[in-house]
Amino acid sequence: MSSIRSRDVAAVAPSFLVWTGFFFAPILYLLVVSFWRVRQYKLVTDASFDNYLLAAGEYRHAIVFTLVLAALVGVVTTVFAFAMAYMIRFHAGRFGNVLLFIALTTLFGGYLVKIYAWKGLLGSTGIINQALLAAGLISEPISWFLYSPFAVVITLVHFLLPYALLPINAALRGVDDAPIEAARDLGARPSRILIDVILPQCERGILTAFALAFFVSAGDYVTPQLVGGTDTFMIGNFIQSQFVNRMNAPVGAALAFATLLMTLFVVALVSLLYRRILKACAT
Amino acid sequence: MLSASEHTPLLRLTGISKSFGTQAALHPLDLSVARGDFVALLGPSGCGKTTLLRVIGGFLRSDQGRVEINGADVTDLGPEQRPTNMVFQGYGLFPHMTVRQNVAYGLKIARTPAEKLSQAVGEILEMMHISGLSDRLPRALSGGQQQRVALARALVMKPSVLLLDEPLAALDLQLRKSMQIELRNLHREIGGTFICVTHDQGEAIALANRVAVMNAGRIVQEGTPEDIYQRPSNAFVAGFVGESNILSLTRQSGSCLLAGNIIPSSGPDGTVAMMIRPDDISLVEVKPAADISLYGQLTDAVFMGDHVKLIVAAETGDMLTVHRSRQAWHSDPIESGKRIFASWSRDACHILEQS
Repeated sequence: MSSIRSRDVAAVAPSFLVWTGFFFAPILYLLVVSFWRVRQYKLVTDASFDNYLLAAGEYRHAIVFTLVLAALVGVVTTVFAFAMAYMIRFHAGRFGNVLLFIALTTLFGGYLVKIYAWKGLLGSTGIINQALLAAGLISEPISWFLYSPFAVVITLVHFLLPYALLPINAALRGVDDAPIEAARDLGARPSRILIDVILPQCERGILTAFALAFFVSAGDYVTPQLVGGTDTFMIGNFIQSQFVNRMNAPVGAALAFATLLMTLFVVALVSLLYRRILKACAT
Repeated sequence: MLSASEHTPLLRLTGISKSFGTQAALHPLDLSVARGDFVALLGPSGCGKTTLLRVIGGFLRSDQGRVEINGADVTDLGPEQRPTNMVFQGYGLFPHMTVRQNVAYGLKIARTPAEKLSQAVGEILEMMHISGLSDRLPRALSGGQQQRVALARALVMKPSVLLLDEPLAALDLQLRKSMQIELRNLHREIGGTFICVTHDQGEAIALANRVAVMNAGRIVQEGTPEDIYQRPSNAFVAGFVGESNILSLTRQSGSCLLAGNIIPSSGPDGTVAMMIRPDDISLVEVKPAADISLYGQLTDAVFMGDHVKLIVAAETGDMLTVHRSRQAWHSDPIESGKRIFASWSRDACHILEQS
């Protein structure tokens, strides 16, 4: 009996260490710190909600703006990724894996490369503006292409697409042909089949893709810094500044937790909406 | 006076062919199905039977030919517009819908009024004995129950033709036997037209009143189960449907010679096959005068439950399979190794042209 026990412990110990070292301990530490304060550049233990009041007051606008932008990125990324995965599943035949591979290879380029690529594309001397000028569609470069929330959204969508593609692709692969054919057999048109048969079976994959894109966007601070311009500050920029410039870990931690809480709320809301909307649209 | 529809077959296929790439799945073939028929498309895997069923259902477009149902040309219509419904292999139930939602789906798509819909669904659930399962999800059902739901979902649409793709293949033997009986009864009760694909000759014979035996993309014989069993048109059908002994003979000027037996048979000279069912052969010690007989040695007796299977090594080098009822064997056993005559009447041998 005891030998079995020690073997059980040995079996879970490595994963327990990883969980604790990389996830439980840092999150717990940050949570504790978020109730502390900084006095004369030193951390002082405390149990106050002041940092959270600050987050709900001064930083509320930044948090809401971040959530809206991240939700937009999440929705656009998920819709695009679904369209890509749908093609791979139903129309690409044996080229599906090639398409998937192409989408995933762009991850090798890394994150910053994509940001700078979009800088080159969207700027007033960038390819898109120059092409529109040459075509005579515009008379002067469109300035809001770059250094704007628009640029942040398009860059993040591009960066996150391969990640969102994976769970949706897996979900669509899990949808059998027979129920789809059965729906056709029972008189359903393609749009009905999508709503009644395919989307309900992809719920988990689609929500995972959305959550992934949404979480990463909500926590990002590099993209807004590089393509967002002087007016696009996301909460990540403020958190970074609290930790790095102002050396105020407690406020930074509180902002991070407040944002995390709100993002979880948004994801829960989106999950609920997904089901509600599908139900309302169902036959 | 009879209306035109009573003369024309319910389903008529003319010149249907289908290739996948360079691989011909169906060679041009014709098939007519009368109203109320239960047709089995029987053949080994890869013979084109499922392709044919999918052409009938509208899931595949044939390269050539016409599909007519109730006299109307439906060749260009998809499954959503055809008066057919299919029970899919593996059932194809909607995994996220309850039994009731699964069964109601087609009627909902057809915008059936709520009251009529719930009555029709209730009736069919009752008929298939699954009323008690109506709020369950498919994954909470056994294979046999899922089968009933799939049948109910198709039948509630009152299809002109019900298509069944290997409907019982996923069930264990005992359940399969009882579902066979149930399917037969169901067909008798509702009087519809069923077309069923199967590779199991026993199932085809048990279920259908007409059997179309397929091989390599062609219908090689079509008829009643009895026709197919008693009068197979070629060696393939004889070998595929039921157990049979097939002996190779040479025909010369109207008769075949088999170890001293002369069997008259008209047709061109050449190699032909003679088929004898194992239950038509008797084992006797004295050479009978009128019958055809081969001298041989009993090599093995295998107890099969309801009958005993005897293997006789004949003087011609052929191994003959002979069936004897359990009772007959017990009252008059033959010891292994004994030399004996295997004999059968002239009516029991069927000369088959080599195909």
